Amino acid sequence: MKNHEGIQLQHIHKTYASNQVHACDDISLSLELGLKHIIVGENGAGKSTIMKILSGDIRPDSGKIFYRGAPVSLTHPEDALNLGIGMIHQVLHFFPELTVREHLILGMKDLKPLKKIDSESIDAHIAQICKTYNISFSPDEKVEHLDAVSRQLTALLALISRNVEVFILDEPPQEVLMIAQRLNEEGKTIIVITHNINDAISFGDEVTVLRGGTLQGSYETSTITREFLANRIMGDHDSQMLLSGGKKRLSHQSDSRDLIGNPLVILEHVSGGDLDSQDQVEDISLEVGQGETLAVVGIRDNGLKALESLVAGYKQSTYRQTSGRIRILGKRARESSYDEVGYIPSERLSTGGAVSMSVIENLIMPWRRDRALFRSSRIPIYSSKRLNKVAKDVIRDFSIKGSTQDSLLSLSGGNIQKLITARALHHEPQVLICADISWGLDIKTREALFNAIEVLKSRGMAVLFFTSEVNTAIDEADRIAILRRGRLVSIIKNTEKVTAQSIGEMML
Amino acid sequence: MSRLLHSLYLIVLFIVIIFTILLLISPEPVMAFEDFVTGPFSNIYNTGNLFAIAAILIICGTGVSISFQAGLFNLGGEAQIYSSALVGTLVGLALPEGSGFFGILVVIIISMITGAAIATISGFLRYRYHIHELISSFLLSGGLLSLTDFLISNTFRDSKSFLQTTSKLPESFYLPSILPPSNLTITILIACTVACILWFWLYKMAGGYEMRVFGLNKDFAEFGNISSRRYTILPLMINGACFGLAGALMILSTQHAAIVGFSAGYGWNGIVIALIAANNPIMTIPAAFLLAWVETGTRTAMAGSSVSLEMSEVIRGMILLMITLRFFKNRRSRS
Amino acid sequence: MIQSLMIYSLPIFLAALGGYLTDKAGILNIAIEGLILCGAFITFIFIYFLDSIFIAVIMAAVLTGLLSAGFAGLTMRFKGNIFITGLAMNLLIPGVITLISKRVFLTGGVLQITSTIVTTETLVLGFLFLSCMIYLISIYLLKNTQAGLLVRATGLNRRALEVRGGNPSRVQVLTFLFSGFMCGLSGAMLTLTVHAYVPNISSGKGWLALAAIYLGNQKATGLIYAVLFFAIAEVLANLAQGTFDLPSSLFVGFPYLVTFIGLIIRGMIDRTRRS
Repeated sequence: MKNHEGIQLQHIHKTYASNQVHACDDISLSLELGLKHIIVGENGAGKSTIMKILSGDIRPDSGKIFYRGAPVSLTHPEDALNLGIGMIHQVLHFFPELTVREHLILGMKDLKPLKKIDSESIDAHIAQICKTYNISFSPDEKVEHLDAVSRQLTALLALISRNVEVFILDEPPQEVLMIAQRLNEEGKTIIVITHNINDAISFGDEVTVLRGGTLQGSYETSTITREFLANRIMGDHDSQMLLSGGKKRLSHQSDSRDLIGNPLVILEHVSGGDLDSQDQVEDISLEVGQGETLAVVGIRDNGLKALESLVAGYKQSTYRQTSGRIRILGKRARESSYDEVGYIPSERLSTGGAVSMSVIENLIMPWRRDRALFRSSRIPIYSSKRLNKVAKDVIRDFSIKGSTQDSLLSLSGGNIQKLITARALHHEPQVLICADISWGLDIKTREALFNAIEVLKSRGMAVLFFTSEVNTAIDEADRIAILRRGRLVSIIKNTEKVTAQSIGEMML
Repeated sequence: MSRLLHSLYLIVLFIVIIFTILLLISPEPVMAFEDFVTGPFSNIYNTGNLFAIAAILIICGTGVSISFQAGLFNLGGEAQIYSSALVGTLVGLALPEGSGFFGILVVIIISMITGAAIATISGFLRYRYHIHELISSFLLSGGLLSLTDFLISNTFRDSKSFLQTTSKLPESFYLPSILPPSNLTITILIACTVACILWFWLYKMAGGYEMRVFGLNKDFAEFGNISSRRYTILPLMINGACFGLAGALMILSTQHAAIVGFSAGYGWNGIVIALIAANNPIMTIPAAFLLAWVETGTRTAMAGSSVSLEMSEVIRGMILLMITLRFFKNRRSRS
Repeated sequence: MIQSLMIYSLPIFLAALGGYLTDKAGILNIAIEGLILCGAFITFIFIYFLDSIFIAVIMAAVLTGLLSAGFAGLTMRFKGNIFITGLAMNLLIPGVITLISKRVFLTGGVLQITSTIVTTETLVLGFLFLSCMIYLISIYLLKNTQAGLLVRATGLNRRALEVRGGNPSRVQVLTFLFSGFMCGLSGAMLTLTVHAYVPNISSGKGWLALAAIYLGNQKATGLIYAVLFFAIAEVLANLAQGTFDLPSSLFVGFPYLVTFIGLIIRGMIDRTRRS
């Protein structure tokens, strides 16, 4: 028991009541203080769950937690924070209307309710931390006006000012990792959750691998190779896929044509977006031809989401087109029918479906008034037999784990994404608009989704793909359009010369 | 199986609550309890009245279920019943005396249109000006209630009657009776039909599907091009029409004239029924019988002991609290 | 004239102020109507048995506050919908009050206060002072202190507060405590000015208080305008009633209709401002 004074999790079990998934199955972990720990695993391996348990956000069904040798009870994030354990979530929770300063106050340990807020001393405090870690903030800035990375930094700032000893970071961006490195040098413990095995090996001291809710082992990074790690994460069979990624497709795309096929999607000088935020685009012109994938890469809240919404014609009350022309199959956004244009939105659980409704009900949404679903073509009453048949076909074709009557919520994230993709592709549309569909998914599911898209693409479907993941764009696209602060920097052919780094430099 | 246990548990808890209340307020709780439970079924008159009350409650509950499923709160039921019943009665009085079936139909339709129109105003305001329908429907209802009171007791008052009431409708407007001498008419059949039709629309047809999606997830509804205007206004319109129907049926089957305050409480009871039935139109039928039983049970118990009418109010509130607080659900997941 | 206006509008203002805070914390207290009744009844009980206005008012506020916090806490504990339990409270309270009243005072009707109490003038001045103080203090706390920041943060994003180690449910229960407290004061004022507990003494004032929050555009200053608006409407109603000799039943619903129209105008203004 060399880690007697560190963090120990013993026999942690957790089953989610909502979908009966065993997220943690008898996990026991020892984490030595003062080190950089990496938790890796596929989607649904239980990485976030075990760390949410450690940060008091989720209560385990059974198991014990020791901190510095003493048993602790963590029933609320407050408990963990009081011990000095803080977590920054992958999906940030923040108050858009409040300022950086107010966020910091809300994160403070001893709130004195009736005390007047002392802006000056807090600002001085912020300035001091910013100076130490070389970041810049205006305390009066509202957090809704910050970009995604700065928001992460605000959350980190709050933890630092609370004198947190153990930092848990769920899929942090590079900027946060850099500060984490500094914090570690000061003796703080860092726990990073990531998909990325390169990060894992280059950053961490110790790597812990989870698979399917069980512990696969902990290793010192100096003693292992990427291949070994991939093998532990995926199991023997699939590890090659993780190492090669989607890159295998690049070779047959190297003959990328100069001229695109018959253009199906045409954008001419399009401007607009959410006029109350940074999420806007200006003067965007591009074309997507038959049988090709154009990936638009950019930062989500910096024009990417706006462009997606404008092209899909979604949320027109928020995202307004101020000028320019959008034509899809010669029609305006949103005027095409479900068998002409398929849309896979970026928010899988809000825009993508109704969680309490069944698989069938979520599936038929776009073609709910299609006569093929009714008992007879004259009476608009649903035929259960026909509905069931459609749903069963889709479940079989996409090997979705779940039954037709299950609620969407009882499916895992990957299966939900499969369902949403299947819905968009079911009527073999000529154009597919899709956004970040692989976000947070494991390699196997990702491959399944892109293979399904590939089949229709080979029959002439044009794909407009919005993503913030440069690597996914390189793996899947024929051409890549790079968006920077709402403007199109350039559109390049995706040849072997294109690297993530070169695109990343153009984006930022 | 667990479902059966669940309902059994609910019934036991329900009985315990009633008994506890009786214990507190009645000198002879056992006798009062017996009156309460068996009273409604002791004679045809009481049983028929129970059915008659249930019929109106089914229609009100079904209507509220529809607006709840669309995520809309209609707190204006009181006036939607009351005012549309008055309008229906006035139209009925204006028709020739022997209008018979045709006259009944006209009264019903006019009342439904009036109820729908009142509720639609709140839907329109919600869609167009983002005014919360919960507040606007309540305020409009508050205004209309006193206006209706005024019209009945002044403008349209039957000067020959001691009551504050309009003139009576001629007998050709009476709905056929089922269990004389009780108040029960064919309303119970109409009510069950309405509940079934709306259930069918909700779960088996595209319009109902769209409305449920709209109620559950606005983003998903927008993704699927579901009109937010239609499903902010239509559910309230249906809800209002149901209340109008309830008002008309009360006039045509029991009251035969608009009397001041005759429908008080049914708007709120509609909400209670919808909540007990988890917004499922078919389930409003048992829920309505439960509440009608509490109501008639209280009345029969009242005759025999010192139980007062407020008891049904208290029981109703308790049922509502129990159902929403999900005492049962928690227990089930623990076991 | 001004005195009768105060008697009319102060109870609404007190209740609205409490409701405003719960709205700021993210969940509107819809049980205000019932809670006012509760406060009014408790006031009567304490005056009847202890014959002290001071104790009666304090107890009305405190006990109603506890009731409000209790039902909010239970609702959160059992993950219920606070709109619906609030509605249940509105149904329950009048029933329970009548049951108790029949058992203890042997009538379900008007309960007259027999002992002499202070003059109406003193009463109105006292409550006016009290509401101004509470208004100013609570707005100051909301805008300038960490407690206020907590309340606002809870209303903006519960989850975000939770991951920062805060306890949004506790904050919300506390705002319900405050709201109940204010309803208790509001009810006390009603009973004291009427010199009796009358069934349904709140007569929709709780609902008007809720409407005032929206009419005031969910802002603290808006609250004052909204209540002034009610007061003016009431004056006009009284004038009209006197001038045209119309029956009073017609005017019971007048405040609702005026508020309704006010809400529409407010909505229209907002709409033109947006576009």
